[in-house]
Amino acid sequence: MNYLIYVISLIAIYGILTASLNLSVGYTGILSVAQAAFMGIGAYAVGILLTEWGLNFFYALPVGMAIAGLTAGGLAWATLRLKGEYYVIASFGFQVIIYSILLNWISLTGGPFGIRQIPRPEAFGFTFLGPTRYAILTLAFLAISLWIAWRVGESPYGKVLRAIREDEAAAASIGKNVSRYKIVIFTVSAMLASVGGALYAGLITYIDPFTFTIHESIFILALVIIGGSGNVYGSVVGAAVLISIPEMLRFFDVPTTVASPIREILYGALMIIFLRFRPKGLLPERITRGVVR
Amino acid sequence: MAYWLFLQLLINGIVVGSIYALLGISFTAIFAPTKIFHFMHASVYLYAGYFLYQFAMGWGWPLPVSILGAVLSAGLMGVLAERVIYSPLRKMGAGMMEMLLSSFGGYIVLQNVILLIWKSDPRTVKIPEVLHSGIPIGLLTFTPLDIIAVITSGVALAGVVIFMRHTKVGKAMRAVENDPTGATITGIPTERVRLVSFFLGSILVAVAVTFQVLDKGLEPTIGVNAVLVATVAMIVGGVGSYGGAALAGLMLGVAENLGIWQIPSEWKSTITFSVLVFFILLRPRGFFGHRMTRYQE
Repeated sequence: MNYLIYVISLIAIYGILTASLNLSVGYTGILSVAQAAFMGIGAYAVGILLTEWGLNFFYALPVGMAIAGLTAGGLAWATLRLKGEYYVIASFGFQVIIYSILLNWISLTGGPFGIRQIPRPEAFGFTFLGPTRYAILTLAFLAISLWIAWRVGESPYGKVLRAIREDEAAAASIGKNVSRYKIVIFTVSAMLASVGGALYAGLITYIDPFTFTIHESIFILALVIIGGSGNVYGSVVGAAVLISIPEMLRFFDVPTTVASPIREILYGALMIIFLRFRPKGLLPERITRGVVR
Repeated sequence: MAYWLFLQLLINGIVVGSIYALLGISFTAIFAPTKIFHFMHASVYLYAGYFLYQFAMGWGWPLPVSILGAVLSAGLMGVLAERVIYSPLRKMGAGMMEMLLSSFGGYIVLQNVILLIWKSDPRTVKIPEVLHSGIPIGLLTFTPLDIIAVITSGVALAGVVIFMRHTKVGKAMRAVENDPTGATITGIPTERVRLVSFFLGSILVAVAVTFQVLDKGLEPTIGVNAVLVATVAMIVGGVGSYGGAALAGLMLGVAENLGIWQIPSEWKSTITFSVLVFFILLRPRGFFGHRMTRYQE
């Protein structure tokens, strides 16, 4: 039973991460492979502030979000001019740099040993200690994140984002400030990802740099694609399907050294199959008819 | 003393750099004509290494035969990647984003197949002791393998440049690079040219991994790093310029090794990618890429 609740928390956390990436990849068409870096920033901010400084989780969280947001804003501002492959490569470089900082700045991050025994969040004398309580916390954060993603994506604001995705020049020509939209959406996306990372740190209570690699970024991308890019609910469905199905492998007698590669092979293969045969994902993007002016 | 150390680091840098140069050329051979960010290049690199290990250590083939076998298998893998993954997507009218994402998917699958077959332990291939024994000149040392690496990469670069300039297939590849539609109209079999470009890039990357295996050995994690180095070399050199990619690769190797002098070596990759980000932001054309605008579609 506890295990089931653990899986639910994990799905909620990946739902947040996927929805956050969906805002930039699915809605705006900015293909970034640095989401795990922002997740890592959130996780390490919470990990360091809770264990070293003894701060409360709910104070540490905004700090992590602020760091992630500022970094993302700076990155987006610097890389605005880049298109297509070049943007991907730049975000790649960023991902590698953050990973290597987490790995090598040993005095701050603990290096390859990571940070152990991260305490569970606490608020108003109420500790989210048990798995059920923690699951409720993650679900609450999932709801808030989804609401934000939905407000941003399925609003006139989101329509502009989609316009930028489809034709940047056209969006600019009707007077939309494309650069500002891109910076804002990238910042929001990174901040949400850092929330996912912080909750992840709280759930596993142990983080190391090897979690926040390019593989993790690609995994989150796979969730976006399979769930449906440009659909907030698709992100949750994608996370739920792709995390719960492989977890069932545990009930068969498969050793972990075999089970975890098989799980990953499943992700990769599904990603290829979906892109080929159902590029819109499980829940396709819904385009509501706008007001014709 | 410091003077000798500097020269030694410079030599090490040239050796590493010539392998980086090979990586840069191999990636350019695929990216320039096809415009596909072939992330599975990391897998081809890794598989070529593991094939070499399997042939030489697993099945006991003689070393030259194993190397040839690994290089050819890598070429085949590149062709298969184009045939199975990219070509169907292109026919569907998919864009660069879908191709890249599929490439990531393929990479994940292949990476984990490696973990299933060969596990994650480091692997090495035994080679004749002569190749590893250092030749001392004064206080400097280098091994015969180092010399072979530098010469091979020089020959490979010359070969690719001559191939691109003076053969029919090479000219066709450049035509596809400049304008795929125009090339098709003039009767160039674009699809086949793409296969050639994948084959060429993949055998070159197999040559690069051969030196990695013989010198340092194999681990499942080295693939991504190879692709990132290849990308950096390609961009810093200027996309489409093979000489530029080679020069940039060489400089990257030298810079990394001279950097060890002052900066702890674990920050090596941070420095490499900071250089990349710097170049992308300030001089996206690289050294020799005057035609960059065409790639920013």
